[in-house]
Amino acid sequence: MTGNVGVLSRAECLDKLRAHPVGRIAVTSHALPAIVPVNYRVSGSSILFRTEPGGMLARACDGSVVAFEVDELDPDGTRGWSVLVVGVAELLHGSAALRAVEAGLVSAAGAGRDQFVAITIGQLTGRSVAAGEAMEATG
Amino acid sequence: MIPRLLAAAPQALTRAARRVVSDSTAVANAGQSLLNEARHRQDRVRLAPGARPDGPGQVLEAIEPERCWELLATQPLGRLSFTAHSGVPVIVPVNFAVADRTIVLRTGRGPKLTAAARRDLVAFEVDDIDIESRTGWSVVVIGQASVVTESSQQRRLDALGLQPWAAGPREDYVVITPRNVAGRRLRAAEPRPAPS
Repeated sequence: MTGNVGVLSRAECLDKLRAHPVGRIAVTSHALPAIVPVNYRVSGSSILFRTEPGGMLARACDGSVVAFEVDELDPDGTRGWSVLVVGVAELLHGSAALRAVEAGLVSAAGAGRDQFVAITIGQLTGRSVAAGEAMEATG
Repeated sequence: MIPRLLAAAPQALTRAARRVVSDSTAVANAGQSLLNEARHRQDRVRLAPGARPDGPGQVLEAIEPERCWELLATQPLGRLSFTAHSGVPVIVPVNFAVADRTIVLRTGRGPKLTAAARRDLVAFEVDDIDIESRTGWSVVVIGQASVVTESSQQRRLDALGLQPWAAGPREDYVVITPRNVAGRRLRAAEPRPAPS
């Protein structure tokens, strides 16, 4: 049942982030916690995603510290990994937003999600779980 | 898709690229190498066949609370969001069970248990998203976390068969008592004539 838990290096965490299309962002909205799944891209040292201009996520991301999580886990949790980013989210305008377009960021939720948001990757931690196998030592 | 979008605005992007190189904001520091990298990655953008960027192809709609509870029960894992005592927001994947309209988790000593012992307000999210077809749903429960200390309730929860992923010397039950349950579904819009 229980897997062996290992710690992912920063480089491994970034690789996982870059390879994955969907993550969940946690913010505070009206003093209440919220989690929203978003599709995203990694660009430089930021996570970029799109949302509705003026919407809950846009308001909650304006200069706030947020958490962003990506994972790939078996249903029983015995195999897989998860990566957690904590960083400052900022709304992108002008050239920075166009840069996000250039990064190929299309909102899975479709039309009208023209507010680009960047989370600067600050704290980056990751864990992996492997069932019944000794984990390779990671930094 | 993306190439079409880029073809539509090459001059604007070139101007943007120049601005990006000199842009001093914290989020625009990667410069020209980023643009090259982005071009290299275009083929990795995944969209359903025929899906257009910014197209009106998808609809986001609310899910009624009753259906939210049904959907919650279909998934083996969710994500718990809370604030660690350092004030830093955290999201962790967890397995869970639904009992009497509460979310039940098991955890050993650590930040999750600490947050529950403080009876923090937490968010718990479950989803099922298919990025290829751009469809899926997400349900979020906001509620108060608490540690189950009564042995009678512990025995009752034992019947759920909920096993913690990382078993430690002692595992406590944490219950999230909902204050709000909300769900959203992303689906394809009504069929339209296919673009040729």
